[in-house]
Parts: sequence; structure tokens; C-alpha cells
Amino acid sequence: MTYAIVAYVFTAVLWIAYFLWLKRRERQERDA
Amino acid sequence: MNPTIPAWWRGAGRALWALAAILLAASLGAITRYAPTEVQMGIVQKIVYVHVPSATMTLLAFGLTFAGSIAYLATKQWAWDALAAASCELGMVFATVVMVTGPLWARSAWNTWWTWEPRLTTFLILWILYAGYHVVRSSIRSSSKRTVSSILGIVLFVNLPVVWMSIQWWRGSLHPRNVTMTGEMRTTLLLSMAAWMVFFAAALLTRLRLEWIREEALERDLAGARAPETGRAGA
Repeated sequence: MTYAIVAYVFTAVLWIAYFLWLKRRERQERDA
Repeated sequence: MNPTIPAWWRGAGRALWALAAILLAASLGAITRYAPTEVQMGIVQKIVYVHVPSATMTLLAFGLTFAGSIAYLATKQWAWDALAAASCELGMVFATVVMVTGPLWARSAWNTWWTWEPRLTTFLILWILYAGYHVVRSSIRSSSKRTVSSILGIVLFVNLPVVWMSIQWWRGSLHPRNVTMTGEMRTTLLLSMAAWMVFFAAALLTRLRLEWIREEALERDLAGARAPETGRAGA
């Protein structure tokens, strides 16, 4: 069960981190 | 807020994100409440509902990179290169999900985190090579960036059929050649697949916005560089 939770939590965290990074890059490009 | 990105683009993005949220919530509900727990593996088997759709989206994303790269070389329109690059980046995130959820499954199913069996090995090679696409693309500052990226996007596509066919071509694969899922499990997997596909489409529109902003900045820079020349010519 732990592995399944780790798999789903990892997927969620990775995608959230990706979109935060994407937002940051958008901001940097606009400010440049 | 970027004024030149059309309103319909934003509207389509919002609609896709709303649909993705609904489908992902429904798929999570189905995974936890509707799909039965597999007898031998138990709850760990439910990793399949994120692992398989992510693997499918990886192949779809890299397939789009291939198509976008060909279209760019044929037309030289920046939008095709933008599609290729954006899709490739999302494909990398999906591939990373596959690379992490796979060993979590393997530890329970095969009693090992990793084994050099055909599907795992070819997928690892795929991940490394597409990571190389981004390294090369981000390291080129000249005008050849798009052409080089497109050539890479086409060449790397060779890996996709290799990953797909690896379990047929080589012996010793732990991945099953034919999977027959029925009943609630099949319905849940199909729902998850649909949810991640809509998520991919929404994410692609969002990621393309960055390419749009970059293209505008590039055009502004070029216009700025041309302006003094025009001024001199007119003087």
C-alpha cells in the first residue's frame, strides 16, 4: 500500500513542481 | 498578462483544465472506490492506473515531437518547432513518472527495484536520449537551434518503436506481452487514460504559451536590431 501512495504522491508533486517552474519561466521571460 | 495571446486560446485552455480536473477526480474516485483490489498484489497493483497512462502519454508526446519536427523542417514556421519542444518537455515529465512508478511496481511484483529487462532498458535509454534533446536545445543560442532540435526530434523517434516492440523482439521480458483487463479494472484504466490525455492537451496549451512569449520577445529583439539600420537607410 505504501508503494501505491508513494507513486501517486510523487506523480502529483512532480506535476505541481513542473507547473510552478513553468510559471516562473513565463514570469522571467515577460520581465526580461 | 500577454495581450497578443488570443482569447480563444485562453478559453480553450481553461475549458481543457476544467475537464481534466473533473476526469482526474473521477479517475481517482474510481481507483480508490470502484476498481477492485487485485488478489495477489493487493493495493500496489493500483499503480497501473497512473503508470500505464503516463507511459502512453510519453509515447504520444514524443510522437508529437516527431510530427512537429518534420512539419518545422518542411515549412520553417516557428509554431511547429514550438509544438515539438513543448510536447517533448511534457513527455519528459510523463517519462519520469513512468521511471519512478515502474520500480515501485517492480519491487512488489518482481521483488526487485530494477532489472535490465528489454522494456525497462529501452525506456531508460529513451529517457536519457530525450533528456539530451533538451540539453542540446537549451545550449544552442544561434538561429540553427530550431533546425538542430527538429533533426534530433526526428532521429530520436527511432526509439519509440524499439520501446514498444522490445517485449516482442527480445526474450527475458518481465512485462506481459498481452494484458487482458476486464470489468471494473478495464473501465478504471480507460477512464484514467482519458483523464491523462485531456490533462496532456491542457498542459500542452499552457506550455505553448511560454514558446509564444519567447517568440514575441525574439521578434521584438529583431525589430529593435533592424530599426537603427532602417533609420540609417532613410537618412
